[in-house]
Amino acid sequence: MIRPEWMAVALLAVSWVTALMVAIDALIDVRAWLARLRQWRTHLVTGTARSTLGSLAVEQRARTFDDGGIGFFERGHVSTVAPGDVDVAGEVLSVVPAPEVEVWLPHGDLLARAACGSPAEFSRLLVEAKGKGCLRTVTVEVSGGSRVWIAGVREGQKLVASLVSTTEPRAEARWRLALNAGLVLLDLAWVGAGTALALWPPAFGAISIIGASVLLGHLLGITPLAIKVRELSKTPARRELLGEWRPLAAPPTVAASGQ
Amino acid sequence: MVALRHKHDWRQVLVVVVYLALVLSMYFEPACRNVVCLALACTFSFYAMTVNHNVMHLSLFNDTAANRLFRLVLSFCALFPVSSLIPSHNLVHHHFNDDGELDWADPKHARFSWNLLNLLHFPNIIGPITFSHISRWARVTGRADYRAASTQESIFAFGLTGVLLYFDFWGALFYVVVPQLWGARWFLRVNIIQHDGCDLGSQWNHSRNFAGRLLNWFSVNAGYHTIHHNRPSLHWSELPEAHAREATGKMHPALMEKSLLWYLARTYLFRFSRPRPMDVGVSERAAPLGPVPGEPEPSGESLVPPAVTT
Repeated sequence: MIRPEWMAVALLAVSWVTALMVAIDALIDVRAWLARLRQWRTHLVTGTARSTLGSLAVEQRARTFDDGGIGFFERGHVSTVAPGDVDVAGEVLSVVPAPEVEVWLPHGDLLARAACGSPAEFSRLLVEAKGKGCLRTVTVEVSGGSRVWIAGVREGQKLVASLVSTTEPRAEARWRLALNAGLVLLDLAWVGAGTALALWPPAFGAISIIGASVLLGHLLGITPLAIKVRELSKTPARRELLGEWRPLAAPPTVAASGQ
Repeated sequence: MVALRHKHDWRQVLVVVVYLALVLSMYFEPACRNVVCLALACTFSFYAMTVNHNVMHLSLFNDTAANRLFRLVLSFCALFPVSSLIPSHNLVHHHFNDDGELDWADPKHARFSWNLLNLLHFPNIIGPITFSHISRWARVTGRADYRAASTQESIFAFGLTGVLLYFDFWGALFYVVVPQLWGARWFLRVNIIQHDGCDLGSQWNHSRNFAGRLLNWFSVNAGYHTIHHNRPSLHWSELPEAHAREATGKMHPALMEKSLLWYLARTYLFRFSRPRPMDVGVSERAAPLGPVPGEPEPSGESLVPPAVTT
């Protein structure tokens, strides 16, 4: 017969292994963002775009909801950088894209572009989205006159850009680092608190049951949270847009909601 | 009169009955709380999940109420609403993508350098991804009958487990919840085991197969995965013959493993790093093989099993 203590120890081990795997998985993003921050110490410039420098396009499939709304599902994100000039600290640099270039824009800009403009637009898409749905592309440009941050390798007056951003990339990185650090702290605190309660004397008493419930809650609850953080930790060029349009009488404009 | 739709399906019923007998014996009879019963319960929990998978493709009974009841039982076996397999498995996984985006259970979601962690952590990653997508899918395209079935299954699974926890918390936690989670999580791991390193874009080289007789007897031929993907409506009892007839010779020999345990040991224990993807589909891409004879291309709604629509 298996002694309850052995089973309890085994389940504590499972809880801690899960907690550690969640933490290590988050640290993969932490390491990647720290590497970017280190690279940007020497390879990031800011200036003003003289012309349209590129765009971020999110292709989505629109499908109708059962309740008469329209839902949007991601199909892909495409960053495009067009060669152009940027004024940087009194000199003009010619930007050319590196092979794996990303364009970062404030998420709010994409949400605004994805929002429903009018009742007529809603009605038109509602018809097109029925059945298997229809495709749409939400595109936001890095327009001339925008303040831009560009990461890349400088070759004389040429700047081979791996990143063109209209949002401060270091702030984006720090926010994601904080998010992941928060997840790791919550993860370890949650499993630690559950362990302390589970081991509370008398063994297998009422408080111990609460502790085991906290650990079961951790096992089932921390992973959806971790996946949400993983999603939010993607670069702005890859972040999910999704969104929904809801039929409203007035006013007609309904903002898309990011998730 | 309620009857099985296929003569071989008694084996699927047997697997579920054995699993439930083991779990309930351990819960009600302390003498059964031993390593052998627990190990068997965990093993049969996984086998019950393969039954779960099969009945979402082809319903078991000729009677709607019996199928619904069996799905409730299976939901308790796995501690999640089994109808969720329709969007996640039938409609998305069988296409290997979600309309341009990654399959919710794509092995690429795992990203550790140490491959053992990929195996261990995989359910923690794709479980939440899958359920997040399912909830959105249910709101958009899920019919009311799907939502009703899923709700009933959740209430039954969590309700019955909750009752068992209420009357004997530790007994239920150790001997009911542990086997439930074990089976469900290994079922999710099957996605990385059977597809990691394969060519998901190819016709015959997208899946890894396992030929072990014992495994396939109890898992109702879950080892024959290539032919199952290409012909999802084929009854599980016909898979070995169809595999030999259609898949052997077309798929890369490396994708037929003799032993699951040896593959797991070789891939996740005896090496640190993740094996590089094999270009198993290279010859296939050079000379496309054309459609699978006698089977339409898997396409969305046609895969929804009759059991759910009735």
